[in-house]
Amino acid sequence: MAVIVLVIVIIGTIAVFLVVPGLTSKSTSVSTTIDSRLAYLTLSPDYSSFPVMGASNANVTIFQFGDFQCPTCDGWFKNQEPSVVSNLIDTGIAKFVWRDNIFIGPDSTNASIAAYSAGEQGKFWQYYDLLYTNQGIENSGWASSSNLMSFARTLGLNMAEFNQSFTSGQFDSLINYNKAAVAALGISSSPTFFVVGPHDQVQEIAGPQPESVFQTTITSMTS
Amino acid sequence: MNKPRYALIAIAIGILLAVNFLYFDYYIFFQPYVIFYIPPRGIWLLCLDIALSALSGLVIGLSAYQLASRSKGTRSGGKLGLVGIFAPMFAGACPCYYLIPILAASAGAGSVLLAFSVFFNTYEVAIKLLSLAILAYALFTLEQSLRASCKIDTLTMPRNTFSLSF
Repeated sequence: MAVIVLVIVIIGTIAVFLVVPGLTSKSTSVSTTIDSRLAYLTLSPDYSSFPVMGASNANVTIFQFGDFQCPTCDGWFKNQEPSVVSNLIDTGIAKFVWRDNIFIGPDSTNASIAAYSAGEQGKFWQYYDLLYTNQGIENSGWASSSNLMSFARTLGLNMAEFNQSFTSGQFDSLINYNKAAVAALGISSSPTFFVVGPHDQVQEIAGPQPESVFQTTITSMTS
Repeated sequence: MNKPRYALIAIAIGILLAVNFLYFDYYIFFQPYVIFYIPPRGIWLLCLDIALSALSGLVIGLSAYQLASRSKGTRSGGKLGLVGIFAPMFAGACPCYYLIPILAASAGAGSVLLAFSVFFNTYEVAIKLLSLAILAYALFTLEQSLRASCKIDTLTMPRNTFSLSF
């Protein structure tokens, strides 16, 4: 029995290392060639529709692919994002772009649409903060339409405009584009980040990693 | 455990499980480079993961020793230990990490898989604590079983084996 368990554990571990992208990668340097993933990161049906935080002229862009219902994204938001924002975004070193990676349920889609609708009134990031601050168990109803409306009211948004944006379907193409990008980029975890450097270098950072990893990646891209 | 082979099995299993647990609980990252990171308020789950890995290694090592020595004692400890070993593997199965491609590919079955992963993730700590208790009990049972078999072997030995002649 012990031998069987030993074999199962070894095979399982090898499988994890083979299945999870990046585990077998020995490279810590950043590619200097133009990456084919760049198109999926920077292009969109309407590039301006990606919510951006930070200086628009920053040389480095950090793309976050997340789901508002994802507890790991929430953990990153609460534990790591504050230092990323204060050390990299607020200092003008990088800008931060939100991209959807909707996979948990219909409420995830609604939460994204609501955040984009808040963005129409210039409050995407405030709404983003509010969603993660109030996150509940996945698909438990915390991101129901009525709660999303309530969050919008909390931010003092114009509710008529918010309702119009929320129900118009105007963000469907963006959400679908992001879904296609997630598949094309081979994203297997949430949150996943892509750092795009000043010379169009691309580095994937999978999982809720600390600010030091972003800092090191950016330093290697810019030095 | 004074048999080096079984001690090695226990250590190897413990390390393999520890790497798995720490990877899926976001303490170890392999990309873009290997990093070990303890997030704020993450120390307790880290201790739990390490304790589970160590106990799992011990239970498997002792079970292997029990089988190899053909102990006639109860093997329920080993069987029970398996529950304790596999349960924490599912606990903490957050859909956020490795289930995205599976969910995308599984279509209709995806919602069931997601429901399971949400359940396991929500009750991660409780399941891991329960697993720890099961493993501790399995370890106790295995040790008792091995001790009992040693006593039986000693008692059934011919008396003159131990007699000293002066």
